Amino acid sequence: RRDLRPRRDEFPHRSIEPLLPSGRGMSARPRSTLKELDDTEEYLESAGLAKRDGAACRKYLTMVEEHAVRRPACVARAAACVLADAKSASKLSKREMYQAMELHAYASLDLGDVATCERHVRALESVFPNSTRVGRLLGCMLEAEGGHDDALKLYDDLLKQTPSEQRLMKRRAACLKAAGRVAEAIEQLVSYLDTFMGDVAAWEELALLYLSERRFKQAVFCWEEVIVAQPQLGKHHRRMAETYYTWGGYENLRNARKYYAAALDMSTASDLRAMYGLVLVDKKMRHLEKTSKAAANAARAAGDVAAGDLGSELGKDASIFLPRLYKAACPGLVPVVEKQMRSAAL
Amino acid sequence: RTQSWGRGVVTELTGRLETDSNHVSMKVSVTERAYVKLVLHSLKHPTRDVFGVLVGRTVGDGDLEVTDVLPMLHSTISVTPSVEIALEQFGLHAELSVGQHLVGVYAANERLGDLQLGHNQAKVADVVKGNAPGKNAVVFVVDSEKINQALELNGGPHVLQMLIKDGESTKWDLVGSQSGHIALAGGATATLAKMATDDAIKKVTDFDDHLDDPGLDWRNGWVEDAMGK
Repeated sequence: RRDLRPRRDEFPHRSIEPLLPSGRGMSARPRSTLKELDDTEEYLESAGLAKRDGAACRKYLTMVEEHAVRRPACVARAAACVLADAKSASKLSKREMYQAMELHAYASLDLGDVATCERHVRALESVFPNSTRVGRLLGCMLEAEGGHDDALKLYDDLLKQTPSEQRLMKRRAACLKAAGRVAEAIEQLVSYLDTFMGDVAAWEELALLYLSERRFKQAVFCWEEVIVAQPQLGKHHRRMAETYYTWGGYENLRNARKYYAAALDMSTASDLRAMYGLVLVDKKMRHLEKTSKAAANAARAAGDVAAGDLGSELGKDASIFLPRLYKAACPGLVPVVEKQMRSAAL
Repeated sequence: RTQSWGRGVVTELTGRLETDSNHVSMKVSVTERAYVKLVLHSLKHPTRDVFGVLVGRTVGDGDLEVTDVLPMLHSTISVTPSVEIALEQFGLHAELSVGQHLVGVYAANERLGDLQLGHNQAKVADVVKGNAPGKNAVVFVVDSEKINQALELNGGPHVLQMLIKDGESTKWDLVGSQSGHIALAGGATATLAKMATDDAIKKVTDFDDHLDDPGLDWRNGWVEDAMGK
């Protein structure tokens, strides 16, 4: 009997999943945890790099690649150790070696060492001609030297070759942002998200870009996409609340309070920003109720509709809870916090 | 010109804002502790926008003395709640602990060569200026291109650029001819070069870190102890 189950790489949705640099889809479970990465990094920085522990360096580089974190100092040293040492270099598979070269190149860009990056780029170009992955690295190198226009030209050429290359489109948006052309970066990200709307990190980045332009309505739309994709993370609700709070106005403040309450709930009362947020929202809403007639009417209407509006007590509860939290966590700051809560209550 | 000031040596920056008819000059002296904390905070987040507040007082006729620095954020200012809470707490801390006020802000922008205040940063600077005694406030921007030099062990030039907003202007302007009026004490930059180790850079915490973990203290009291050694 033939095996009629579709093979993994024939699932159509795989092509639009945001890809990790190693090429695996995001639904694949990571093979290590962030804590392991941090522990390995600590070991390397304290003793491992000094005694040139090649195996630990290789493991560290694999984890960095997997989690896509930015740790230039340690990565540069680990990659140099792995590549330079002839004994450990012979144990590397070709794939690991090129990955190490790529990581070293990106790390040296972060450290301002363009020469090392150029060396690796030329080597990788000779092995992988016409590769978009090497093209991205080359573009980053051009950006690091300040040649944003050259980098953009390169990205455009590569996109003509492979129009639906996700990372290239995102790289182009990042280049525009680095060049200070925020409006164009927004356009690029919007056109990217029109096609690849499942990319949560891109929605977050777009929300932050909109916020930097003070376009709050669009930022809220982006946060909504993020919350729909990852509803269990209190962090997104908290950032939505911050956006509503900054936007201002009585209705937006009420929304802010809703999202702060959700964030606090999801963090089981440990999110300090949400607690402070509730205090701030309460203070602003009471100020608006006193000064603005429209706000006072809205408050009265809300009071009629929902008897026992629990939200109105949240600010006061938070302002009572915060000094207690500080007494346990950071007693030196208790006088400052108590004075602040007293003035907020007035 | 340098003065000994208790445990630290004072670095003086003199800014001269020239208008067509008369010369306006505001002298801003910066203590060693303030300078070290400021630059350590910028070194901790080299790829991000860094922002903080200057604590100090007015001396003489419109001159300022910056005695301490309170690091606030290491992300671009886009939403206001953290900033509002931080400003209030910093102001209260300055008054309750040393009877001083917030006399300005500092920023280290994420893009190299960017020595201006962004829109939101300028707004925060305006708020601090409005609440400062005599509305006397100053803005420092870190010039990242000078940091490598500054960390040389014999103490290079300092890395700060000064911005002032005088009465009529609507934006914070770079003070002209800064280099001619900057008198540097060897003490502050040499101390910074000595203290800018990986451990010290990791240890600096700002208000943002404190909000993630209330146990982290944004007052950074450990800097004075480390400097004293």
